[in-house]
Amino acid sequence: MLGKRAGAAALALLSTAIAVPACAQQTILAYYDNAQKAEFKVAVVATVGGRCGFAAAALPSGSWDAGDIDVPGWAHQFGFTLECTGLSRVAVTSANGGLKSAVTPVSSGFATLAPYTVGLSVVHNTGTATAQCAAADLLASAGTACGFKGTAAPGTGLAIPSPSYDLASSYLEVRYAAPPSGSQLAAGQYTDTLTVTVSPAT
Amino acid sequence: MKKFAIAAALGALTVSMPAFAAGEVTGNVTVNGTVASKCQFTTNSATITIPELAGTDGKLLASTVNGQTATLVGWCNKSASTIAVNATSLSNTSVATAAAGFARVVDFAATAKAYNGTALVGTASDANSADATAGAAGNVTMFRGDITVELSAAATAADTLLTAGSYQGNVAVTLTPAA
Repeated sequence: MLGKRAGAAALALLSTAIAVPACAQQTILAYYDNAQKAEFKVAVVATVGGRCGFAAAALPSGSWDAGDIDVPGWAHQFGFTLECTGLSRVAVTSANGGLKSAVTPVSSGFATLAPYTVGLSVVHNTGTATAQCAAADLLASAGTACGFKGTAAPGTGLAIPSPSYDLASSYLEVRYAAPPSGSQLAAGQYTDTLTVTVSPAT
Repeated sequence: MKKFAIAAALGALTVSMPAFAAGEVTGNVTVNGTVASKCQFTTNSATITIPELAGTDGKLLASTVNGQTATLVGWCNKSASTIAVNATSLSNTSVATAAAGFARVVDFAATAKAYNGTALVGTASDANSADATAGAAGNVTMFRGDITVELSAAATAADTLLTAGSYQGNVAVTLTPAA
């Protein structure tokens, strides 16, 4: 039977165990009052509850009108802020794989899908992770040409190699890309939606 | 022993804490844009050379003009664009006034036809090269390809001889984008 002091000591040690960083193990020692030591071990695996998401006030969101998309030079940055206390991944998908028009009918020699470039720039504790891809490579059905295509998961998306918590100046950029030669865009309204996701990397 | 049980239960509670708490993890951005209605020539000039306008009788040999063609290349990216032609008569550039019985101007008509590939998508003509006014415009659908120009109905004032010299005329083709 344990004395009251020994029991309190055991609880105090356990409290210490809860506060240590992830995956620490703590040995708990308990003593009998009569100086004859009895030792037992309770493995305690403690995890510091991390957080990974977008700052609620700085989500990658909104709408932007590029104007005449067949005129070179347009670009826009959608700013966002991560709140990831550990390593993370950021991924993007494009609904249309380009700026798409619903114009019909379309004569041969004309296109209704305008290419453009999507870039990611994510500021983290030790630098800035950047990458860019053609919007066509961000379509869910596209191959693996783009390293940040898809829904973010531990193995999917642009790797952010250190925590990024409440750091300013991260952005998603959209930029003009020249259409393939031999293709002319039909007149009309064009649109695309990009979905940006973030996930812990582990 | 009871206290050990409490300690073990607390340990188990610690293990079950989630590794990450997720905030907002998805964002959506929309990009909109416009392609304006427009027309453009990618080949915007061509020359028709007629070595000799007159026959052996000194009068206009109409067959040297009629049927002459040239090809421009262009496109309009919206249906209901228009094409128009304005022909300007062939005039002797070295003679300001023709002597009696002679002519220094050859009038003609011109027709332009727009093609999307091999499909004819629009046509327009100007029957009067002397009036400095374009003929009626014709509609063209969205097209990308050749615009052929053909001359016809060459004529001078009745029973006149052509004055010697160089002659120069013009056919202007205008593509106007749909509204």
